[in-house]
Amino acid sequence: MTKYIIRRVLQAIPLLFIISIISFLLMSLAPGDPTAMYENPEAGNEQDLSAIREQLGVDDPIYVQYYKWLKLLVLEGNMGYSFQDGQPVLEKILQRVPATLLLMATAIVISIIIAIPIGVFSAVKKYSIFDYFFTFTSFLGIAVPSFFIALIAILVFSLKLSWFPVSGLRENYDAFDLWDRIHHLALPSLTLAFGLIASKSRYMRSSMLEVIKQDYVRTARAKGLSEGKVIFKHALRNALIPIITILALQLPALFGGSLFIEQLFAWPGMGRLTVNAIFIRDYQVIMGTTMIAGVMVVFSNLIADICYAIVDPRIQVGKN
Amino acid sequence: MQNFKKKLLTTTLASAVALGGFSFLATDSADAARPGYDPKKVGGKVILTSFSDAVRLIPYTTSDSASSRIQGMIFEGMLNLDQKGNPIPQLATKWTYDKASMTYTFDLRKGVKWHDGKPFTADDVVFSYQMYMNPKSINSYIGDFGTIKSVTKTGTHQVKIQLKEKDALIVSNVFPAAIIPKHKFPKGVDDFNKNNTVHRNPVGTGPFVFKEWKTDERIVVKANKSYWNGRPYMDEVITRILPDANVEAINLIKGDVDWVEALTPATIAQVAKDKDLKITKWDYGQFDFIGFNSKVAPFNDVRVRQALTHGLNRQSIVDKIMLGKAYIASGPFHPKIPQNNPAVKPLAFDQKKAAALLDAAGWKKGSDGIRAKDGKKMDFEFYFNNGNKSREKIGLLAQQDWGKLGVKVSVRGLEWSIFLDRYAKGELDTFALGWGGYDGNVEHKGFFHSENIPTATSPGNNRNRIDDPKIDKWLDTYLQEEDRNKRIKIYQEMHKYMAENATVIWTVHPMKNMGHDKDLKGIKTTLSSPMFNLEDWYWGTAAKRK
Repeated sequence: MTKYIIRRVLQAIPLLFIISIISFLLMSLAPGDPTAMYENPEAGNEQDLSAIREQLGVDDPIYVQYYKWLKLLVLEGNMGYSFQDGQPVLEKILQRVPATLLLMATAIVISIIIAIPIGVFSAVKKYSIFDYFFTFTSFLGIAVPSFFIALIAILVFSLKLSWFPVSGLRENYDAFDLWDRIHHLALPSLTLAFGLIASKSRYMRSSMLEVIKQDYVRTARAKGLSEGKVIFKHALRNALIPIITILALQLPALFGGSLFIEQLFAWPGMGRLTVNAIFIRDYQVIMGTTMIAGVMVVFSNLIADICYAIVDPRIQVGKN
Repeated sequence: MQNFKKKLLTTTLASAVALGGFSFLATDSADAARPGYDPKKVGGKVILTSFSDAVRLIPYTTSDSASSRIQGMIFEGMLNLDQKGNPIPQLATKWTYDKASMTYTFDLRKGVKWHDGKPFTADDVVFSYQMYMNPKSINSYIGDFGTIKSVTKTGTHQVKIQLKEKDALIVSNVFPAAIIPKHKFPKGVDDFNKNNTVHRNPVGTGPFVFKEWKTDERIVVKANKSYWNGRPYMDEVITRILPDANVEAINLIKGDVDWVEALTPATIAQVAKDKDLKITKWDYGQFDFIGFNSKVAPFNDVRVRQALTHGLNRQSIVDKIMLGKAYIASGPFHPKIPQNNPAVKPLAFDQKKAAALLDAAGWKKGSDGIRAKDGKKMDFEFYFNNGNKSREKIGLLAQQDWGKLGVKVSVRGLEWSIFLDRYAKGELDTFALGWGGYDGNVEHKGFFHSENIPTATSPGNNRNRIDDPKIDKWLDTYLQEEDRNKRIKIYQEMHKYMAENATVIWTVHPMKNMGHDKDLKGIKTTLSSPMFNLEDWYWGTAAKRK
């Protein structure tokens, strides 16, 4: 097992290297350059941008820019400095990681708590009115973009019903106020969870349907176990295995979804940093967030594989 | 308090009086309250919004409006501009000009303290100008300081600034530059450029003291209770960072914020319905236009430009798109500034005349109804920056109106960075854009002079590629003319020519609509700032002043 993990981690290095080259290339192929951040789209104004271009080093050929970036990263562990404000990119990202992790983790937990019962229930009561209802809602959740759901949620729950604040991370800046935080977290995390619930409950349903057809479920019933025990003890545990993979695979989608959610809820996280960096062509920050996202995806896949091996004894990693 | 950055957004001209070497006398006492100060108005906090987070809070290290707005609360210059754009004393109490040696002498205010308690002296002024003029500094407005030869201390509270050459602009353009505290920058320009601790913890002399900056959340400043000109009424000014116009409006309606600088036309109706809120329109020094690459056909033909102007219903841009909150434009001068020539009328909406002009220019209608000349059809694209609904609608209106003339128009949105890139290269057929931030000290050379046409090696702001010797001459003589009235006449003449010649298609001078709590009082604006006098804002109701 240890050997397997080490091998996978080592394999991740060339993968991340390739990700970095591709991102850098794509970024440089996109038209526009960082001096756009100095121009106001509503009403332009006059200033000298030539010195700025030189300072930012954006006039260098693309391979020189990449080489400089990579050298700094490998030799000093430094992800460069933001074109916009000169702050170290890593510092900028770390400042915003807690808010994003909080939002994403809450969304994942909510989605698990809601999606699994829905999936189980839909499978057990296949083709019932509940099943149809959840199927319909799931497809809605998958089809409707998260920013639209967010706007509707703000309109209904914040503006009309006044249950939740409209935006932001907190109101109380003087001390840590748990209720204040939860109050602010509720709407963005539920909105973000909505899409996850939709897809996860579909997977759960089909996985459950697969399992309850199995012989050992029939055996359990034949033994005279109660229906509850059959479903929750024998069927559910086995049906959960594919969900672990889904959880890991949903992570990139979650990262993408949080881009919009953070923008709309004025959530001070990485998503907003990324969106802003893309609009103003802050190459250093874009590279930083892309690499962090890449690392997250690679490692969540690894963790999924390991968990898989732990929950399913039939899968033997490291022995082939 | 005037947002000093304003003068940087445009190159400006000083009033002629200043050149005559007049001087201003003002109170020298450190704890005098400003005229009209009413202690009953003190108290409370106001929550403003900003579209984006600030970048750095040290003046001249940034060029975005979010940063300069906060900097303007904390820092002050030697001079300030009044509501009409005339220079008035701020950290300097008095200034004189010696024509023979081209030297300005400033007497600085005594007894002023930095927010950290250290005294403000001539050393700070000398240091600030050294930073801004240092070729290694990240100041992107360094060109504005180009005519200064030297800045020297001649006493603990006296500074002399000598010029290399005559510069009529300098009083209103450069001398309001914010002064920064020397003692916070021990490593000089290195700290100025790179020290994040300094950038994020500004210490100024202004009416507000920096309190906290939570990245992407909010920036808070509090009242400077020992401000030399009397403390501001508000105890705290909080700027919340809300990156979306709808979210901004919702927060305003919900009462979570008190003031929004500019509501979008789409959100105005919602805000107007709320009885606790008020919409105040304010004039902003800006002109909007439909531009093109003036060097390429068909736009290099004056008749085509005139035809397209005559053929576009600009009154309907004012009425339907800007919902009445704009002035129809006939040139680059806002109607509220003296350079605007009141005798100039915008070219009338007249499709027949437009058709006749196109016919005369050789663009005849073909069998498909589209005009063509020498086998080339009049078929072009109209660009706007993505997300700007008003400009998109202007595009659709142009498509409809010009379509009736036999001109085929396709409307397309471009992301801002891409838009700029193609604009600089002269690749956009036609596009809607705005140019602004100017007041009565306006100077338009950068935008219209042929020497500012960008090339591969030299950038420039004349991206419309206007190359007209007549316009060049007006722009140049305006800068050389020392008599203010004569100078204004020069621009008025240019205005007339630009209107008739349809140098670009002038559309409107938009007004901005600030939305705010009805009880928020004392707000005054200038053509370049919606918070010209933030220190005088107060709550009308006593309960809110707690």
